[in-house]
Order: sequence, then structure tokens, then C-alpha cells
Amino acid sequence: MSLIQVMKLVKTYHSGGETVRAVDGVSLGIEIGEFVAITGTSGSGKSTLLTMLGGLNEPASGRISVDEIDIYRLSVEQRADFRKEYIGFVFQAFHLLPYLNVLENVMIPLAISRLSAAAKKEKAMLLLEKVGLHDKALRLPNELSGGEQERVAIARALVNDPPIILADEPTGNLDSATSGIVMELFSRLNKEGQTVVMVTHDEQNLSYATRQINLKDGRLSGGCRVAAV
Amino acid sequence: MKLYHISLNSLLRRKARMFFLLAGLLIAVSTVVLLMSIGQTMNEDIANKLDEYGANILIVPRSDELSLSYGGMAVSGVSFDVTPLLQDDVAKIREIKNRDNIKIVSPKLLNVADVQQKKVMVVGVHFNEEITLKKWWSIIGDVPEKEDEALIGVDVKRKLQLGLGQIVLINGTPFRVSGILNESGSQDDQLVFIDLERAQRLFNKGSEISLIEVAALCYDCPIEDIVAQASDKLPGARVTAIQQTIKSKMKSIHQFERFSLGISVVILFVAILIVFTTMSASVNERKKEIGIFRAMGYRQSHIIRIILQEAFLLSTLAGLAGYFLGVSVSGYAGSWIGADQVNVHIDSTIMALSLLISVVIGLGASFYPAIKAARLDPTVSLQSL
Repeated sequence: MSLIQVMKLVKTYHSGGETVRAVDGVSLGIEIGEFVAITGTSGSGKSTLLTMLGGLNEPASGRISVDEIDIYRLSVEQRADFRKEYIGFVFQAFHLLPYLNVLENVMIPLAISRLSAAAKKEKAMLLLEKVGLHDKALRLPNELSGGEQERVAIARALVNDPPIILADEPTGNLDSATSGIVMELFSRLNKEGQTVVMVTHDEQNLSYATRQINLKDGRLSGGCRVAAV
Repeated sequence: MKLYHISLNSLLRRKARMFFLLAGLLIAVSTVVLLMSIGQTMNEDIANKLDEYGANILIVPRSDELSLSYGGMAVSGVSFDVTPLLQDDVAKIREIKNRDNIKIVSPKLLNVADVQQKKVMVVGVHFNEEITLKKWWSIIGDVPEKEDEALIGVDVKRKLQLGLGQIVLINGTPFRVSGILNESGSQDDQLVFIDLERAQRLFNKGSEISLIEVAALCYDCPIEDIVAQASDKLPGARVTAIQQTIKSKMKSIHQFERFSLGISVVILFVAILIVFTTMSASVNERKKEIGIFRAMGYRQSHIIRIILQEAFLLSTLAGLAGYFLGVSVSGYAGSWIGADQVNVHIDSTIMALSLLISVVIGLGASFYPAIKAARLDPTVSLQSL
């Protein structure tokens, strides 16, 4: 059984009196330790699929199982607990909270955990060390470069030890050099056993993925390319 | 790091919004505290000035007979056969439950006497109490200090052609006129006042007294309670309340209190609107942030807690600051409304009440915005990410 199992997934939107099928009958499986890149043109439904995988976006029909949990049969609050335990989100625009310093931003997911203050801090500092930002723990986000902010966002996504990282265009706001650093980080995490699902436009990023899934008009399109790991 | 850490930092980050909300609550709470303090000051002021209003309870012997009149009040017959009041009854009044509210007890003996061959009402009094009771008395000369001295009303002076220092015969006993009352327009103008014990001996009345005037005030309980307690202590006496003066003063205080209540309700309603509008705007502004929290596994209840903790922190601060501001301003306001003694003091009850009002408004008005924030669709919030 795959870590993530998607069965005949459909998501519809109503726009201007018409029903648009953003995701249209997608079925796929993602195994533990895979690095999957979801590609497709703008409006192909890749970001919608990603949010659905993360339990944020309820499908019109179909099913998503993660670790054999049918996530859309859970209540809203149970799904929040599921995200806390299973998913780490990384967003294109970083979305760090400007009023918290780097360390505090990484600790945001831990604010609702029962760990002691010292344990929370230790865990966050370890992750900052992992992403190479432990010396900037007390800086505010606006004092960091784009690449550094993205690395803080990755540390934040990892802090709860989730088995799955969902990244939506993580290098979309970065220059190519910085993108390379961030992608190297994702690759390193994946090699350490982390399952990564990433939406990307960037052809360069595909070389880091172990599998590519292409979407067109909400449907799986073409074959899957498997990169050499 | 805990949720309150996020709430606190969020507040500190949004200083302008926090200041606006804080100012709204602070003004509301301080105004309510100010109005409450003024009301309390007015009540305390009337208690302090009680003796200026004279007596408000009259105690006379119980009688079915016709009464003589004294001071416009019915006084049981001086010369009729009734069980008289005695000197010991004065002490009993000081034993009632609400004795702390009794300011002055002034016993009197009334008797018609021959003064310079004319019938004049002579009143035996304790001058020190009488002077305290009748602040409006204006005396030419001195208040009698010796037993053979008398104070006469201005009409007595005119009719009997008496002057200061002259000797006047009351039932054949000589008294020196030590003072003359200036015209007061009351019956006092037609009376002769001498010492109570001297009058009792002069008229062979033993320790009898005709009536007792009492100045009492219980601004937080009805005067009727004091009357009832005095009646219980003196079953042979008729105790009546002269309520006009105090009642009209108290009525104006009650009117002010009702007015204050009305103003307070309006101000608190405006404060509720300010908090509601500000918190709703804040939630709209923070959709992205809420989306991030939800994506990271925050439950709806966590979002509600973050918003309500912000409201709680602000309203607690506003409640305390509003209380101290209100108390400080009431010091000036009290003298502005003419209260002689303005006691600016920390009243823990009012402080607790202002905190409670502020927190209830803060949390109550933030509850709907908090629920709205918690129910935001994470995908809608995240669309802009």
C-alpha cells in the first residue's frame, strides 16, 4: 500500500455559471521516500491537487488515503490533527509571520504541542542548524534574503517530523542560484528518507525529483519520468 | 512558545490597531468609572453635609389629643395628659442597629411661660447640638453658655423690646439675653431658647422632654428603616420622618445615577461596536496568517483562542488603565460638581467591576470575529499565498 493513495479524485469549481473541473478523475500512488514533482501549465490543477493531498481542500468525489487514513472522512478538527502529524507545507511566498523572529517562526507548529519550552527550542534550533540558519535564529524575517526565508519555511515544515512535505512552487520567488540551494536542501532531506511532493514550473527542479507527474486540464497527462536517484 | 506568545506578538506588531482598540475601551471604561465615582461622591457628600439640612426625624410622645405646632410639624400636646418622653430615651436612640447613621440627637422641652407678662413659647435645648443642627442660625451676640442665659428670637426681641445683655424674667426667674437670632422666617423667631436642664427645673418637668429631633442619613438604605428601628426602641413615642429636604436631594442623586446609567449603556454599546469592527477588520487582514495556521495543523479552537487571547490582553489592560484614569479624572470632576470632599481612593469593587466590564466587552465583541476566523476556508485563505 502506498503512503499516499489517490483514487478517482475530482474537484469542481463554479465560475461564471459554469462548472470547472480543476481536478478531473486523478488516481495515483506515492510511496514512502519518493520525491514527486507535479508539473503542468498554469490552471492545470496542480496546486489544487497539492492542497487536496494536504487535507485542506475537500474533493467533489474520489478519495485520498494517507497511511491508510481516508482523510476526507475525518471531521474538520480531526483533519487539522492529521495535518499536524503528517504534513509539512512549504509555500511559494514563504509566508513567515513578520512579527516573530526566525526561531519563533520555526516553532509555530510546536505552539500547539505539549512539548516543554526547552524541548521546542532545542528542536527548532536543530532544524535551523540543518538548513544552515542557526546563527540567524533571532533575526526577523525581513532581515533575511529570499533563499534564507524559504529555508526557514522548510525548517518550519519539518519541525513536527511530518512524513510528507508538500511544497508549492518553493523556488518560484527565488533566483536560479538560490533555487539551487533550496532544491539541494529538498534533495538532501529526501535522501534522508523524507517523502516530498512538489509543485513546480521550473524545468531545473525536475532533476531533483524521483518522479514527475504532469497534469493537463486537471487530468494526468503523459507518462511519468523517473529520475536517477 | 505557546499560543499566547503569538497573540501578544501579533498585538505588538499591529500597534495602530491595538492603540485604536485600547483607546476605545479605555475611554468607555474610564467614563463609566468617572460616572460611578461622581455618583458615589455625591452620596458621600450628602452624608457629610447632613447637618446642613437639619433634622429629618422627629420623635414626639404618642398622643390621641390635639397637637401644638412646632416648626410646621405636629407636636403632641405640651400641656395634655400624655406619657412624656424622658431624658433616658435620648440614649436609646443611640442604640438602634443603624446607630452609625445618626449624626445628631437633639432633645427639646417646650413650655409656654410668662415672659415680661406675655405668653411666650420657651424651648429648653442643648445649645451645642442645636447649633450643629441648625447651621442656618445667625446669632447676634453669643450662644448661651451659662444656665441663666437665654437666646431669643427676633420677634420676641421686637415685641418685648429686649436687647443684648438685658435681663428678662421667665416665670419670674431672671435670665440674661446673651444672643438674639437674626430673622429666619421660621417659628424660631418667636421663641426663647434656654438650657434644657434649666428649663426642666424651671417648669418642674423632672427629666421630661417634649420632642427629640434627629439628624440621620443612610444613603444606601431607606430612612424608613431608621424610623422603624427608633419606633421599636421607643414604643411610647411617635417617630416620623421629615423627608422633604433629603428626599429631594436624594431624588436628584438618583436622577443623576439613572442618567449615568443611560450614558454608560450608550458608551459601552459604542465600545462594543468599536471592538467588534476592529476585530472583524483584523480577521480580514489576517486571512493569510489564519490559512498558514490551519495548514500547519491548528484546530479551529486554536484560532479562536489566539483571537480571544488578544482581546483578553487588550481588554484587561484597558480595564485597569480605564479605572485609574476614571478615578483620577473624578478627583477634578467632584470639585467641579461642587462636592466639598472628594475622596479619590482605590475602590476594589469598582476596579473589579471595570475590569469585568472591559473583559466582557472585549471577549463578547470579539467572539463572532473569532468564530468567523476559525471557520475561514483554509483554501480560500491560502489562495492568495
